[in-house]
Amino acid sequence: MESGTPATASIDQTPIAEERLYAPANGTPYWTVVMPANVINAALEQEFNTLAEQWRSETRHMSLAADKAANFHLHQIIGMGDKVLPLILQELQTKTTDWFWALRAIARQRAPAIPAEDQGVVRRIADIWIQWGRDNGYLRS
Amino acid sequence: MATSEADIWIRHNFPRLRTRPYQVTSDDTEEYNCLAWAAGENHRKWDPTDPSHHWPATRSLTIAAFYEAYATERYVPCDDGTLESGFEKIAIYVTLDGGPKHAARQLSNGKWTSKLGDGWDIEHDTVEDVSNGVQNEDYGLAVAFMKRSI
Repeated sequence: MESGTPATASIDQTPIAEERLYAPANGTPYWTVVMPANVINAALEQEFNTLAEQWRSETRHMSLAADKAANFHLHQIIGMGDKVLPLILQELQTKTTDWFWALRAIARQRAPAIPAEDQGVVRRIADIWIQWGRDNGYLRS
Repeated sequence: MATSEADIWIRHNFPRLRTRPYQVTSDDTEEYNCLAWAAGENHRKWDPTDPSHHWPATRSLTIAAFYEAYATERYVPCDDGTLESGFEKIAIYVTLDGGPKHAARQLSNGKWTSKLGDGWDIEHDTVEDVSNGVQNEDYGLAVAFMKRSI
């Protein structure tokens, strides 16, 4: 083998998981696997993209938000909770997908009010949610 | 002739249109839906089920609420969808569970125009042409009609 930089130098050596031993004062010590944030985010994004595509495909012919919301793929996205908000809001910046039912379901009482003159106007509603996302730390300004 | 993405999607979801004539009359868009398009609007969604969207009447998924909504556009209930000189008609589609799912608008040539979900607008010959999609949540049947003078 020639001298110089080892072949492995260009490979990302970051472990995808780390085992840690926890030893509670009053309990049995246990091992747990800690996943780095970037690995968790990539997996979440992949799952979100898959579910979103399935939801869009199966509900595209529907006209009512309530019918689109009855789809199990959307239920799973809503079930991801707050951590999926950045992904939905990022998508709203480039696509006009009607995510508003899901956003209201996740944000609940924190959801922004939609002025009467903007109701139904998808781009304006999206912009209201994007601003809400920035104000609440779900999107970078 | 190559089959377009629109045709593949339309024929998959609306099996009657596999053998019936229709014409795609717009690009696909999510900026409006069939309920808005029936009222002649293409800049916003009408939807009684989602408070994010416009609905000029009681927010209820009933024929009565649909009558109330389209009355704001001068439509009044009528018997059927036959072409009447001097009037424009709309058809309201209802499924077996009783909920309205779709609306179409009659054109001056007697044909109908429908916005198909988040897909394309099409012109179709009869109200029945977009009934009974392949999936459970189809449009149902056109059971209520309204008209307004033009």
